Amino acid sequence: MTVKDMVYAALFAALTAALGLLPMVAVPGLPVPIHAQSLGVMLAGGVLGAKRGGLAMLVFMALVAAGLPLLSGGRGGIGIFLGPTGGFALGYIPGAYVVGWLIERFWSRLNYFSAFIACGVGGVGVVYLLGIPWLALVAKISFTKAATGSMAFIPGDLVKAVVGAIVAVSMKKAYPMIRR
Amino acid sequence: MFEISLARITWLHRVPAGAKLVVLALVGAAVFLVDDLHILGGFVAAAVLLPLSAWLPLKAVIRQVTPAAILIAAVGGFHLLMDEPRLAAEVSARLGTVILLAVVLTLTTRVSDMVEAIEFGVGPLRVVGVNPAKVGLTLSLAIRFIPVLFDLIGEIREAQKARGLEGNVFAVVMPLLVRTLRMADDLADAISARGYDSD
Repeated sequence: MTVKDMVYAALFAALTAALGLLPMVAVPGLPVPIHAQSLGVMLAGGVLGAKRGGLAMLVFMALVAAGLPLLSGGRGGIGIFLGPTGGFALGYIPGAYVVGWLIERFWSRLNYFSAFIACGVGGVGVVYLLGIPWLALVAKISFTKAATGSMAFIPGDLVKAVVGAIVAVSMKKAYPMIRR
Repeated sequence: MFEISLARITWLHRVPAGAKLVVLALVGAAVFLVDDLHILGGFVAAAVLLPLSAWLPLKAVIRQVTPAAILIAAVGGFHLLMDEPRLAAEVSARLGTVILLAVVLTLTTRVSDMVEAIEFGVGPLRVVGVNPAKVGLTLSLAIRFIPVLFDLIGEIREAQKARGLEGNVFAVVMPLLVRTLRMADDLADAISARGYDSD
């Protein structure tokens, strides 16, 4: 881990935390506002790449576990990871890594579509891949029931993937971080 | 620094963070292995008595437990609906115990002590190339920069408000990311210039 890895991970963890203190934000052309913090996974992976993005989420979750009230609504503490929805919180770490990994693969021909795929697979797919079995195991409900119950959040998450994709593509032009 | 832990010192505050984490891990494992309702009931009773024994303010405990309690009630209610009252009791007792203990830990442990415990805990990972001192510095840096970035968000929103764009997610996030990255580059240079040994 170089000094740069540490600093980027720390500042993006702090950024994700600060986004949680922000009120809901509007997406142009969309009637419902979204919570800015949940963009953190896609921003970290999409801007910093796999390694630093994953590290940023790891640092953020470590701060939550350490007892800072950083999650939306001022929640925090180690209990977050032990409850039925703990898998979703933990899923953000590999989620950001996969977003970053795919963005790195698509980098030379990155467009809105490929960036959306990266954000969707990493920021939504991977997070649910961890969250749903965890929910089924901890709550002792069937896998299908856990999956069906989680589907309600998919539309909102896909909107976030669109926002994440637009940001990732714009950031490639504004401040390219990958292969620097 | 804002944190969830209570400032007033109780006997639970004096227990080292590492010891509390070990107890939480052991109890967490135990409740998931046990399925005898009497034993699980004992765990719940102990978990309820613990915050009472330290006279933790009930308001703070309830405030922290509430979001999880709603989830547990939903899970328990689901099992009741499926006509499995035993499973409902079992799952609620397990989750209730673990969450309550976790909340007590969070309420009685300062963030700085937790960061120290994490630094200590990652010690064995030295063999795979993890440097505990760097982990500690990274966590401290992140904590230090939360208020800085929060102020930065406020500043950017003010600037975009003047342009009528304060509610637009891109108008806030894009400058925020660029300025965060610039800040990170400066910070990395400043750390390296002071001869920080990166290994």
